Amino acid sequence: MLPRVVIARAAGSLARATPVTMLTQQHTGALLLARTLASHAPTNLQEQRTLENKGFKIPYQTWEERDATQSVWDFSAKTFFMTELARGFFTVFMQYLREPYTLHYPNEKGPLSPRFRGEHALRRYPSGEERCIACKLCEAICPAQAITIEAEPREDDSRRTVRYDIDMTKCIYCGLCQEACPVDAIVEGPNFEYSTETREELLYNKEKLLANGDRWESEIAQNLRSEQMYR
Amino acid sequence: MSLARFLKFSLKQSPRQNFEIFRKLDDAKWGKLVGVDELGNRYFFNPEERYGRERWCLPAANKNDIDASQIPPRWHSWLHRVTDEVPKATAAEDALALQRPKWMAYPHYQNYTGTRKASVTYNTMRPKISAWDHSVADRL
Amino acid sequence: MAFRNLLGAVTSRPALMKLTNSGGVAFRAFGTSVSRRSTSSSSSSEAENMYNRDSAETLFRPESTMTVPPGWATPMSISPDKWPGPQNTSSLEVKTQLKPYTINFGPQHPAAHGVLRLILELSGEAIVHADPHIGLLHRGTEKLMEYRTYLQALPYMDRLDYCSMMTNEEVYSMAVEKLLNIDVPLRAKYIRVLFAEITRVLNHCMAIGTHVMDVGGLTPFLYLFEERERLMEFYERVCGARMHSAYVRPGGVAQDIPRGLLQDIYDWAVQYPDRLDEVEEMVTSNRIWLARTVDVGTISSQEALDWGITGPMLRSTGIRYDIRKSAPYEVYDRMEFDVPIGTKGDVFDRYLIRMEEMRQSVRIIKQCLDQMPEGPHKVDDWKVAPPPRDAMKQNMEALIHHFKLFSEGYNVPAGETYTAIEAPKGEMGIFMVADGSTRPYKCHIRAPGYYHLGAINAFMKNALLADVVAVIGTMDLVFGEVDR
Repeated sequence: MLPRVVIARAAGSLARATPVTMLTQQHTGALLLARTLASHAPTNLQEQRTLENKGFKIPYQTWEERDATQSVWDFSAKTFFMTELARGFFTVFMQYLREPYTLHYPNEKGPLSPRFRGEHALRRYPSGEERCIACKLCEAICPAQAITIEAEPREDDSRRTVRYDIDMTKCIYCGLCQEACPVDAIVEGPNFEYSTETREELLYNKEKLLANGDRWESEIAQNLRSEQMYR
Repeated sequence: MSLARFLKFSLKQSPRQNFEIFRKLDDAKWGKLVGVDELGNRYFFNPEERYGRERWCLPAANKNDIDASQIPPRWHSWLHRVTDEVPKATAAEDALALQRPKWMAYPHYQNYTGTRKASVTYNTMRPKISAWDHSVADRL
Repeated sequence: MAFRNLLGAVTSRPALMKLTNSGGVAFRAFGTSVSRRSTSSSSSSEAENMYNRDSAETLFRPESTMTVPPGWATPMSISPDKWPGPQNTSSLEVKTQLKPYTINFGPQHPAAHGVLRLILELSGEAIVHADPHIGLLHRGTEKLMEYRTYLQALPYMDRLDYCSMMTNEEVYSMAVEKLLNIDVPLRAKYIRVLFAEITRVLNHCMAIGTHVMDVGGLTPFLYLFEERERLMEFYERVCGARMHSAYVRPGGVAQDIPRGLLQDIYDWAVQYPDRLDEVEEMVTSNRIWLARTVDVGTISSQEALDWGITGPMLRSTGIRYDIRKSAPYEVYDRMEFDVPIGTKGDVFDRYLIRMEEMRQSVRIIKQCLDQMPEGPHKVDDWKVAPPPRDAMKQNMEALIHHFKLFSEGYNVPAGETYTAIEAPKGEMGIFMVADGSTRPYKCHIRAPGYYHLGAINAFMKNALLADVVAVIGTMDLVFGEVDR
């Protein structure tokens, strides 16, 4: 048989994280088992703090003292009955009884906010006239330099873009373009399901962006309307 | 999906609809029909489910053609909980479609990547240089 | 090895954490007298004692012949007479010289947390030397920022430490604000603190989840990522992106908090400590976890200071250093919270500290929600922050400011600053030199992970090969900030 002190030290160190119940008396086996299984060991400091507030006093000042107060029965029960593992497994079992957190994606979708920054779209006025006036602020602010704009006067002498390209592979979706746009023409819409099989499809030109705007306009307008107080 | 859930599911609705749901979603879902969009996707609401699963969609497409991008914009915002406002059911939606500007895309179309309808990018500018015409000029 | 580790756990002196109140005074006597390793560098003799590097690092140096510490089962410990086979001849003088075995850890190792490449020199299973090779995710952020206006450089900060996004933006914004000599409105400060603490929880969820997963427990990872998902939704609601938020701007925050968000954050904060309890129930006293973490990756406080280690890594050695307390920024001086510190500086201490920091973050979040003031969310100076959109659409002055801001940017007066905050991983600092133009002349980013990784060899004293993943996990490395 090992000397008592050694075992007591060992007991203390293995049970290190579930310690603070006061164990000053020697326990008989039955009492110990009941207590070990039932005791809610205050593993977290918040609980310890509440105990402290209620007048709880830490029963030792050094680890040696603490180890000496640990019962060898306590350690043995913990080791051989695997109480800490049993409690862990019980937690897992309770989780098993809960409803799963999983979403079944294509049919159920996670929450989005009106501020969501997804696929870009160029919007139009209700008359069908495109909003973009080729001020090139978005091109100027874009940190990734993903936007390329070239403008020419149209037949009716209004200035419009002839090239509005966004390299979606460069875009970092920071949202600065839609903040910069003075006419709300370029927006980052609510759509994020635009993954492509080839890289070329992600090089958006003006037609693609306008088509996005035409497709998502009802939702974009709804979102902008609900966000108008914050912008 | 627990056995209890499956039993509940099989008692809730008609076997025909249950078969379709189970085949398309691989899951036992039930709920109140909220509406149908222009593509025929049906949207359901089931307050018994936990948050996140209570709004769900039964796609109209065949099992192999189901794509997440088939949800039209306003139903998209309902399904994503951007808004609680339920888009109008079919007849009223059609009436609204008459007021919809012509330039707005209707009906909704999905992300066509990987198909022949995939968008191909091209230059929207007139060429800035005139390429050399390599036809041989007549000798004088 | 497992037996040895278990033995180490059994015979070791357990560590316990202490809490310091503000001002760095230990507010309770919990384990103050326990630490053989002193928690303060006051007594010089003690400091010298704890600064002996005589363990494996020197013992394992294979300069001449290898010395094997007692108790290590290597071929060296078997005397050549007893070796089986043809070597066992008395005429042949066996002069064994075991050279370290060099292996390459990563950059594709699943436990390498990204693109860490470690060159490990092994003697048997013991680590003789660990040499980190970095740069595989280098994107030249610091150089790129010299060619961007102050607003354009902001989204790059998200990509540094992509597990704690808003704190990176916060330190950048604070640096620019210091150079501009402006003070942001109180509400903006509260929003920043609120989201900085949400970010801390986000980061520690990631750190602990992946750490436990690295040493073999998958379940807490799933629990914590469920919570992480909820926090991502808060991010998404406030700024429109789940990760790369671009929300905290010089001069305040980009947009005001949407209605109902604070209530939801409160609902989350109420239930979150229970989820932490579940994780603790499974992990904290688990004997496998203890065997893998207790007395592993130990570092002394002096060494930690020498290597420039900050954050939970430094606090685990018992040093009371938290910038939120020692140099309070934003509104941290109004917040009531405790900073946990450890006593032993091992992996287990750091785990406990991160868990406790999450609870303290929840405390701060609740205080922010209680005290959230009314008012503007960014400075009312159109030279720095863009005017509101209705003003921009109706007011010529505002439109001009809008155009100037988004094209040219704002001029920052010449000067230089070092601004640091307590990011979840440690001290995140920006050294920025402005030359009066609209772009920073130089911007150096002091990322905590870089310094932690640099000290990885100091953490590997007495480490075995299996401890490498535990040490990497406890460092909470994110290569966006290490490689920059």
